[in-house]
Amino acid sequence: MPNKNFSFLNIRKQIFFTLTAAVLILNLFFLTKETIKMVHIRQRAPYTFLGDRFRGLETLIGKAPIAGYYTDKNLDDKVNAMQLAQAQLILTPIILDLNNTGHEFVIFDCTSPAAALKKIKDIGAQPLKANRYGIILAHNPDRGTAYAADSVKTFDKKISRQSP
Amino acid sequence: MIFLPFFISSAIGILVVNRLFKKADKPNIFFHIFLATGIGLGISSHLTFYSFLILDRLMPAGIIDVHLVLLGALLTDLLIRRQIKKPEIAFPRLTVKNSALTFLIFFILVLVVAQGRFYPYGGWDAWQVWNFKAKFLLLSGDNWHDLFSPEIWRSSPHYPLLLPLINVWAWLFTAKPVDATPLVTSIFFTVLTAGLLSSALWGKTKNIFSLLPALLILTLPFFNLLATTQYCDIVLSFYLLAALLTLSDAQKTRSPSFAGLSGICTGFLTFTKPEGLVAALIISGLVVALTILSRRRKPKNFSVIQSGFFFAGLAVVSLPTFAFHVLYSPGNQTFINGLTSALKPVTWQRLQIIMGFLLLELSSAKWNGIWLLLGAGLLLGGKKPWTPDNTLIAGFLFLYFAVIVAYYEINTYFEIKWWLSVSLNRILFSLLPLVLFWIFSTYLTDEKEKN
Repeated sequence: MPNKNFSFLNIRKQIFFTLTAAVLILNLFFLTKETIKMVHIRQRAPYTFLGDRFRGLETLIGKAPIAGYYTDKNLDDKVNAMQLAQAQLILTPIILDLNNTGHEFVIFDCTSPAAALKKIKDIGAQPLKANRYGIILAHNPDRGTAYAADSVKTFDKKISRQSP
Repeated sequence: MIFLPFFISSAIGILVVNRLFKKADKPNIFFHIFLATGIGLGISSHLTFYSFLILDRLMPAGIIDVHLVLLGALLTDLLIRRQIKKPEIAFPRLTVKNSALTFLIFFILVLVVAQGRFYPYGGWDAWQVWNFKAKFLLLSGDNWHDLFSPEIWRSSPHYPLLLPLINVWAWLFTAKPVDATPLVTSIFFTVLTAGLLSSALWGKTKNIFSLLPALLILTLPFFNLLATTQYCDIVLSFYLLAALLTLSDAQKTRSPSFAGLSGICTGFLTFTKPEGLVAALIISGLVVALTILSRRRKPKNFSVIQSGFFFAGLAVVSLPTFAFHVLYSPGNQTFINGLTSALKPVTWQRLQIIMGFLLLELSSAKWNGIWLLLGAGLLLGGKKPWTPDNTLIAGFLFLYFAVIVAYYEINTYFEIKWWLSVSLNRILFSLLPLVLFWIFSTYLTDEKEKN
């Protein structure tokens, strides 16, 4: 005797739920695999936040609402673009004005320290601080010390005394 | 302390939704909680925005006070109306199957949280666009208007602020931008979206398989990645789903309360992303069409009163969006009208690339075949996905896709292949819960009829 509930719709439903089960099993497999892989990756090397390279600069920049961010790196490269974005996040609320060296403070993130120092010399700025990641903060004395932290003001006084 | 603002928002949302309904026409308790928590977070975001709008600065104590007063008023109202009673929850019986399912859900949630923790700062452009804005609004003091300055065009200053303001609200309790908060927000919205999807299906079908679509998205690694890496797409996805589910319920139950709720969710949708504004305009157009079409029907399935409730809710909740666009947004700097531009005109080839890329994306391995499954579901469902019950969601999806394709075609500012590669997957991501509801409801509703 044929099953009363048997219908073409039921077959279609069974096919759909079988496919759903297949996708769910596939998902679970890949999610578990991905999680285990990430646990191993994080055990080998902890998460690196490129913005950490800029920590501490905000104390020297003081209350300046905006600072220049000069780079000779290719920003189409994702890592370089990430570094700029993370620097902006860490230094917030200071706004980073890309490749504008006309501000009181300019952060240099160049391919080499020599390239950064050359550019700093060209614009007549004073390097204030360099860190082990090659990030250099420079101060433009021409732009005054309106927003600078006290340490920078003292630094600029020393520089002006040394100047002939 | 990190979770306290989320609980306050959730409580406000639950009480607001409770206030909108009479005893008889309340949604099921699970749907109520998931929907109301999202609405509560939206309310908190808006109250924070009003601090900037009215006082021209962030006033932490004022925002917290307004929340507490609102919570107190809603609780007092509840006491006066004597509506405190034990909720009637039809929990499934404790069986081996249900216990296994509960364990599976718990296991999956642990994996979701673990995925989020692998990227504690979220996706790299999530902080460029969303977390940076939140931190800036918290710390910039009187200079907060600089958020819209041209120097930070990379952060899309024309994007609305719902998500950053939720994080600002949460940070008011820690007094500093704690890194974990945006992660908690994104995990919250991921769980809310999955919960809303399944509870809506459960309300409609009372079928245990209502959990399937939620399990499908929570186990999909690519969905999890986009959901928990602190982008706004999961927030958009939540409000889009909520707006259409409540509108569909309004149509079915003829309840003005559901229509009002849909208007509220559509209002929050406008403040998420520019795509949210587009979706809200389409939903509003559908409401107008429903109202006009149902005038000829008896009984009417969408009355003028319902329409009034929808637009009242939408108008009130869209005020911050309106203020944002009129007073602050610098406008979209990345738009060239290809229809009028001689340098970058629209081309037939561009349209071919868009359609080709769409097919490629839908069949991409990163989705683990979920779009193929939904395509198969659509074909196997025959006429069922197109019945009057489902035309609202189907109609919305058709119009939304048409607008999205037209925008990709007309805005010729970006090189199309690059633009599609970075944005199309997010658009599909935000639509996935809605499409899952559409397809699964056709199959599960049928199950109920059979039973």
